Amino acid sequence: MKAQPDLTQVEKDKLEINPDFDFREIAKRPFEDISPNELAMFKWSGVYHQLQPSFFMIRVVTPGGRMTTKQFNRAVDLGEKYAQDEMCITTRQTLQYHWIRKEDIYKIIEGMAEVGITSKNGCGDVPRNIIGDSLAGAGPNQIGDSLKLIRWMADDDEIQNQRNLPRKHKISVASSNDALAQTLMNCQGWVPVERDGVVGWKYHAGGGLGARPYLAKAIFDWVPEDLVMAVTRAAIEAFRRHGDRRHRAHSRLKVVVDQMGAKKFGDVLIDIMKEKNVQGLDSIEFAASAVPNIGRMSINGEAVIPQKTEGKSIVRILIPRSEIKTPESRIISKLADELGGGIIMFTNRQNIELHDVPNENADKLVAALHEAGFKTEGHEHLPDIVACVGTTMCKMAVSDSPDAYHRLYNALATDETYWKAIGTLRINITGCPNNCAHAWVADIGLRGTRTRNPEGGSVEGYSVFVGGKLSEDGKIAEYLCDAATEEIVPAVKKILDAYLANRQSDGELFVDFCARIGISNFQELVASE
Amino acid sequence: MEQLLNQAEELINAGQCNEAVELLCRQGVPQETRVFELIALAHHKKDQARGDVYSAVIFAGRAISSGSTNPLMQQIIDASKRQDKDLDHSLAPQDYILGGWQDTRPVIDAPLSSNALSKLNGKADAPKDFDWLGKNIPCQKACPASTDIPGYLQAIYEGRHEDAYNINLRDNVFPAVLGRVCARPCESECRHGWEDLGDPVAICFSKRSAADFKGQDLVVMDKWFEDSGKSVAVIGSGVAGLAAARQLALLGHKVTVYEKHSTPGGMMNQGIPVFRLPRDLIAKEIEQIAALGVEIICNTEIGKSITLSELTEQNDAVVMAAGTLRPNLLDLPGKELEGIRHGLEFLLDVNDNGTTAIGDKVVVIGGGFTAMDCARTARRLGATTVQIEEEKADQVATGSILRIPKGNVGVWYRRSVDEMLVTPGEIEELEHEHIPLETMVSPKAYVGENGKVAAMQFVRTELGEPDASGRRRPVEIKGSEFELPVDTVLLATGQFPDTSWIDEALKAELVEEDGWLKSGTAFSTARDKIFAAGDFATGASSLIQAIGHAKDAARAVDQFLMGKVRLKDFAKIEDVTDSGRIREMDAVPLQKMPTIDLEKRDLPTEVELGYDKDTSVEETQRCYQCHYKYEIDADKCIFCDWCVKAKPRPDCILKVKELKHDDEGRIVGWEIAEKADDVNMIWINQDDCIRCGACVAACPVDAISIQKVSLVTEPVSA
Repeated sequence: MKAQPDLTQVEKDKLEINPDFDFREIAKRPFEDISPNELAMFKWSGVYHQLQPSFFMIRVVTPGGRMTTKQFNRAVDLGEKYAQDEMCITTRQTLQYHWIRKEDIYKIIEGMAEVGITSKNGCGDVPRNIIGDSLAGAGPNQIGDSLKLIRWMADDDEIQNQRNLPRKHKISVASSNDALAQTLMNCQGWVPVERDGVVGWKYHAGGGLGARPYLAKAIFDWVPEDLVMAVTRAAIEAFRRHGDRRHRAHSRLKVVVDQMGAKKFGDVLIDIMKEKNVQGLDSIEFAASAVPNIGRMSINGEAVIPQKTEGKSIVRILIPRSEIKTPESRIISKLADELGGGIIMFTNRQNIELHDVPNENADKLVAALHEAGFKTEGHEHLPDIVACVGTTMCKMAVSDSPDAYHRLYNALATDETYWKAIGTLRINITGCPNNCAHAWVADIGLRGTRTRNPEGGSVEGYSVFVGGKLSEDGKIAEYLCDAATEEIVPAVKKILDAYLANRQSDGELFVDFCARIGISNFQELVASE
Repeated sequence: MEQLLNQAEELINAGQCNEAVELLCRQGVPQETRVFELIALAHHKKDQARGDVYSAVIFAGRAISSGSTNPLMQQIIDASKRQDKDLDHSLAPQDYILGGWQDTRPVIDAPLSSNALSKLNGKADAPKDFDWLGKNIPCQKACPASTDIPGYLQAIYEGRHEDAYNINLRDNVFPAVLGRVCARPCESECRHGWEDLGDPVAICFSKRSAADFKGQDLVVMDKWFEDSGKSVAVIGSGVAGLAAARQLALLGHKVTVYEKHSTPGGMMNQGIPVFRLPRDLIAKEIEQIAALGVEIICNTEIGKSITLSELTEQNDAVVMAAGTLRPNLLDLPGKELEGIRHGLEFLLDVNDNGTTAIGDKVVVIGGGFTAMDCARTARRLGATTVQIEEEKADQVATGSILRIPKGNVGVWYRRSVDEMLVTPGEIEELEHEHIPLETMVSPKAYVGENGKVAAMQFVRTELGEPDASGRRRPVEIKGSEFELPVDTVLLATGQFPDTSWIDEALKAELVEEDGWLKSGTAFSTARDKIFAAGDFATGASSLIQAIGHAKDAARAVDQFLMGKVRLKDFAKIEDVTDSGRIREMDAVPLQKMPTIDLEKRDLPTEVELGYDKDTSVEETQRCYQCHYKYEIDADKCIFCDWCVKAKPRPDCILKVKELKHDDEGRIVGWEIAEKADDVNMIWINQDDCIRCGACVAACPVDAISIQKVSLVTEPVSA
């Protein structure tokens, strides 16, 4: 008989190893007694073995990216005590610690649990931190209450106890039809729609980046709010049933949806809900077109954004390379309490927003931030660069993305005239094809690579992709060229100069320029001496 | 604490940096200046990748901010800063040619010295190409006839038994025969049998299944060339003679084979017992050769009916393939006694007459193929019938070995089992058929009674240094002599070429005084027109070796006849997208060959039953398909190491600093890169690759190609 496919080792581990580790026990257990398989399953608790063998990374879960200052203060305390005085803001709107000793993992987990923050499902083949956009609960254009849905999903046992999905699963709930919520690169993406004063939700599925990116398709044009949870659960069930568990590179929902097509995937969801005896399915409207139409980003560099709620504002802080050390964190927290509304929002561009700031405090808050050394200018522009940790701490990385970040930031972000002339520009630097820093959907995406040097050795560098976007029907950035890390500053400058010299008008955004001239012409422009 | 710090410093100085950090962390969260300094120092010393630089900087920074005055800390930070360079060239997309599994490669010379083959696609014939084939398809390399083993195993796996037979036929001339009695040098080289990888694929049993399940029609091959008008005489119709004849016929020559025996086939017919090789199979595969126009004339002994000189006069070339028919008789005291026979003569007698007189106590001396055949044949000839329990009597065939007393036949060999040159599984069959095997015993003398052998004197041996054959030499143990009562001794002690038939006119030119050919194992002799093939040139070997030698001899004859090389070998390179294998196939256990029960084992009944069709598929899926080449495009690769993380074997994918080549461009070694910046390429070490495809699945940029590389022989186009 021909050999039949067996479970892969990862799939066996998921069945055989309980992912809810007792990290107090792990603290006592000698490292060599922890099997590599167990170590890999730590991720289900948000715990990653770091590149540096004696240390771990812990990623907590902050649904919607929001923390109260009380929660944040606890996070800072723990970071000070156990994580070498530092935390990182992730592109999924949460915090992660590095440099945690095995013996201290449980201290972080328990310490955060005391303030209502878990690290369960921080990583692993599970539904990850439910995200949205940083304007959730505050933005001037919001429709309905995205935070409510995020909370429902974060608190839903059926969703949160899915501990054996074929691969990770990502959900976004937007607060308005705005690319800010990254709907098109999530497995499931909800966008609010208002009809005759009633809020319902447009449903997208099948987005995902990684090495082989897919943009989400529109599945349903209208899902009544009371069926949102049923659809979300059904999609997870569909993923559980149809995800390819054999080939991890092709196991995410994006591949399922791509292979089925939007209509069939919608049918599958309806069938699953029928199985579960969900009522009212007739009120779900299939998408008239699978091609999405997401609104362009509504924000463009503002330091202060008026909230929908009268009298309140959002104040935005640019966090260099997503890293916040204890002293700065304490300042932010103190200011959030004293001048803001005690709410801290982590953005998917690894920055911080302070919400519910009384309008009368806004200027004062900005001034205080500047006085403390923070920048509030440059959002959605060149200084607002996203970068992963790269080879500094990640086992998968090829290039040192923080290094490239600092080179570009130091060389180009300091020239305010220059970057203001460029206008909206998102540079994302990701250290490897996993694309944690979303290079596929940036205006300029740098993906780590090394290039063989015929003279010997190899040179660290980046493959440069341009023209990605998550608005309208989305666009995966196209490959432009390669550049060595030590030449990344002049290379990016050359690309930007080519844009400045050739754009139709000052108003033609970089992303629109890319679309207009096409990748071949762009390649020719930068290939010229 | 001080002691711990000192210990950590010692570890760092000893290069055990990870261990030092682990030790430092064991005491608590790193918070003290000295601990920060040492962690920084450990990573600074390790310095293999950017991660080490970063860690060193982080902890150096922590050290300074906690009051460190160690100047090294600032130096570490300063040294980590890398300068920007001006852009003095245009920005260009990456440039690669080889690409990944989805790409099509052009038929061009390989652009990089690291490329496995000299060309990217099509046909290649540089030394490195043949070197690749030899190292990467070890079974085919081990096969003297260069049989495309992965090719036919794949065909069987895909249910194409007919194709599998034809692939075999092309290469080894007698697939059905060899599927039963091949010496299987391929199997001991099979990658699946490497340490920790399980058992070799049952290549031979699978080959048999191709013959068993193909159609019944004769397969007549297409000739490479039209009639050449040249005639060739072949002396001997054993496997060598017939293989040479077939190849020469395919090359367009008129071939006549002369056989002194009444039937063609040589050792196949006259040596190997029927219970291992049914005669109809031999006849059929010889018929396929005759169908190509080869004339086989039996009952014609060269040197008697016609001389070699005359034959040479009448033909454009002569191939001597007369085998090894001169027995090596042990020169021991008592050698003239009755009851001492040479094994080959014994087997010939039984094969010709269906039986022969044999005593009750038979000793077979030797440890090779002939010894096994003699013993198992003799075991089937026992005169005494034992009492079979009544209830079982019906089930036991008349001539069954169960009707013959156990222990009447034994094999005695002067070295150990490890040195025996037998077909795998045959020693087990010996035991199964109740034939004792005594090793480490050397015959010293025959002891006679009334002119007949009555006992055999042996001396025990121990193994000494290896001899010329590479096997350890038996050294007699003084004083360990003993006698064994016998009435028949079968000497399976080897045989040599018999050159006595070569007429005097040629003898001086062709034959040494000891009876061996002067030309040694070469195809050509002192006479242009006279060639030698198979065991006659090489000495006694295996069927497959004789076939391989004869095929090569035929090419030498053709070159002589036509004055040019008309056949050429290539490495044929083809793009594929998938090997069709899944990893679970590697875990399929070796399929056993079913055999008949002892009750039915007699002289004419074939012991091995052959795989059924499903089993043949099950077994052949185990083949790693080593003809697939997995290769990383060094220019498309982004050095992410993900394939390295997914690799199943320690050395199958390497991060190399440099590959080493010989003058012919063959890759002969490598230097491993210790630091990330030193890695010049991530390189699949195909010699160690088990074709699992894990690297292709892991590669995020599809930089790994899969190609099928096969050895092909084709006519050289005019």
